[in-house]
Amino acid sequence: MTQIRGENNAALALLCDNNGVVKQILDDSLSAGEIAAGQSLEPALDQGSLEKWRAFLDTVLSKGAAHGWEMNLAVGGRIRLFRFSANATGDGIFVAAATTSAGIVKIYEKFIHVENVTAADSTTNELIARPPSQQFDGDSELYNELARLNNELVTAQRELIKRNIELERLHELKNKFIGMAAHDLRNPLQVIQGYSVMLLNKRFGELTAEQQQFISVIRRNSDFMVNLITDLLYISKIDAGKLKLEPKEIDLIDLLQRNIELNRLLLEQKQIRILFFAEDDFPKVVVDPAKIEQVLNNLISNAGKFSAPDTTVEVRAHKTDTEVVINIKDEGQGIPADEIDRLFIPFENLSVKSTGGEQSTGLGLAIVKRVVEGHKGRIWVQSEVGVGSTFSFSLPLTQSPETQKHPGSLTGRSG
Amino acid sequence: MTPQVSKIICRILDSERALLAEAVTARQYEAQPELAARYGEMGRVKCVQDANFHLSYLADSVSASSPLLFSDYIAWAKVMLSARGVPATDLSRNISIMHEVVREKLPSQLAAVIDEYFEAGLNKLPSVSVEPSTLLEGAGPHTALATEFLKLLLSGERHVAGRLILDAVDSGVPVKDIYLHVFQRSQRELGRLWQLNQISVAQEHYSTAATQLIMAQLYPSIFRTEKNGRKIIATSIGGELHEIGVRIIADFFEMEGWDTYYLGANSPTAAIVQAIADRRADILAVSATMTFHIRAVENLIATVRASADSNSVKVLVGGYPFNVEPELWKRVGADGYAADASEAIAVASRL
Repeated sequence: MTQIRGENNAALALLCDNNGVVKQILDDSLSAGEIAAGQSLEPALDQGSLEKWRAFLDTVLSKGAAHGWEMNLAVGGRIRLFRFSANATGDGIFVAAATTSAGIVKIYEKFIHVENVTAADSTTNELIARPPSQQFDGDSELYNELARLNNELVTAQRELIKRNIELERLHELKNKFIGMAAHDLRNPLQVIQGYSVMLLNKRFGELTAEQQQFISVIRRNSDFMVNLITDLLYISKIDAGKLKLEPKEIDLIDLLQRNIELNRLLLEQKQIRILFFAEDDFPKVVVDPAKIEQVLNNLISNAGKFSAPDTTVEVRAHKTDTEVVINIKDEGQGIPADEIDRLFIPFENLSVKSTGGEQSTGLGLAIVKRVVEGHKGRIWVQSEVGVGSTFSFSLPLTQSPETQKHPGSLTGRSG
Repeated sequence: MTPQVSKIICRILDSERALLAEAVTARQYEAQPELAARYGEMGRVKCVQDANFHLSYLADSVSASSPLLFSDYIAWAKVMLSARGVPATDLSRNISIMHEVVREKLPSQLAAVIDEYFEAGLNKLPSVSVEPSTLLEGAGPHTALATEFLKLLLSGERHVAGRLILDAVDSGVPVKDIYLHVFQRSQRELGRLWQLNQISVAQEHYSTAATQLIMAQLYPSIFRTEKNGRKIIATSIGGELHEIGVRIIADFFEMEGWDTYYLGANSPTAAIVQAIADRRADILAVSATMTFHIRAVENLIATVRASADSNSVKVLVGGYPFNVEPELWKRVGADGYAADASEAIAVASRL
């Protein structure tokens, strides 16, 4: 028994007697066992196809051939639609069944001469002579439908790519605009800030208590606005890929200690203790020290901002084979679980409020995340409401190939 | 022939097409009884189908007042049928019989009108070679690249074909050259191979689909061109499957700094009018490949002109029937016509 396979075509080629009893199996790539010599094909046919099968046999016997009939075969535990073709051979019927019309032609090409299948009738000649793809109009309409589908997909793809590039352009434009606007705002604000400091320092004479109070408000608010603008400029520079890292090999423990000492003064004003623990033999790391200092400053001062008096902030540094990890743990109010994911998004409005009325630009953590990720590090948070939060970040010990290829560009856009 | 006359003839040809096709087939089989044996029962079905096609093209050619379009179609059919075992003599006979049958059907005062169409078709037949030569030979630019590209597509190797194109672009071949000398030429060659029965419909569709996806890989560079402020909407008509040509046109405009909106082939007329108004488009580019879409182009243009929201747009047409019949673009009411992408840019810039 030979096998006709390929193009996922299940194929069946049989010699039957005039009643449809199988005399010989020429090909059965289904190998399902339902079809056997000496038995009728009927058990292998789906119930609904039986009548059609009998009409098919009648047509073959009366006209010499029948082509393109569709019937269901129940084989191998499933029902599949097959195309059937058949020719009267004089003493019986040659039957070909396949899932595609191309499959039928393959069967005919294989057996038409070998098995002495008479091809005298013209419809069979027609079948063989025409290329498979033109056999049945149904096939060609499907091809057209597929072509339409593909056209629509490619049109959608064109639109997406076009929009994407427009969005990139707009994003760049927005960053440029923010940069320019922020720059133009910062200069006059710094003048206001400067004069208010001079007034508070009594450079222009004594102030009444009320004047002192009002000018303090001016000072505090202009400080906040300058900070906000500085952060905005900074983040738009990062997003535009214009902020460069200047990596150096440094002793991270030194940097941590210096930063903790600076923050200790501020935290002590709120009666918050700060403790520092570091593993021995801490390796040196290659980072941009000014930017990592900014990260530490932000995370430690945040810990203070959101903690109540008489609590402790702990800073811990440890290493693994591949990275160093810094944890900043507070005993503050904690962050609700559904807000954790939004922590690093600029200007997100969260329910957690500072305990001493400290203002926040809404950009600090977004910048921290970009700086850490720009160093190929990671940042994450564990928090429980009423217990406290731990902010952790890691820095890789060895530079990744990616960092070596593009040294020092901060282009993080996430969060 | 007045437009009124051509409208009446078209209406008759359209409404009676099925009956006419049956009548032509019956008369031919009667005159040539040997056909039944030669082509069999299926052959007769195909004969009716083909007669339907011929009549449909005839109606479109009459509608466009262009005997040239009909004769060009008959020439194409000769090559296509000859590759499928139908000799030119059978086709010639079929067209002559069709002439008789159609003449009998038309009111006597209109019958003479269609004579020149059938004569143009029959006169052209003898000079048409049944083996048109390949479009991928000769000294044209990037012939080797186009040949290799098509070979890969016909073997189902779209990824390798895509790599071939990206490598060529990386090595400095301009994207416009790839479009014109590789994509466009290989598409035309595909059409020729199908006509000659040397490739299947599946191969033709696969190669076209793969070419479109490979074009999409070039979009990121195309869409970064600095904009010149002008806008064009490009579309092909009536569910037209052959739409790579107008896609190429749209991308060429994009490469020239135009803002382009490619609407594909399935946009309803109302959506096209809306897009023209929303985008404030300067140009509407419409393509038709099949002759039976000429009337749809004409209707689209009329609708666009009738709407106050879209009537200031200039309409540019192109595609196979407009290439065959040089005056056709005027008859459908367009403002301009272009034979290829480069010409389209030049014409659109003048409009």
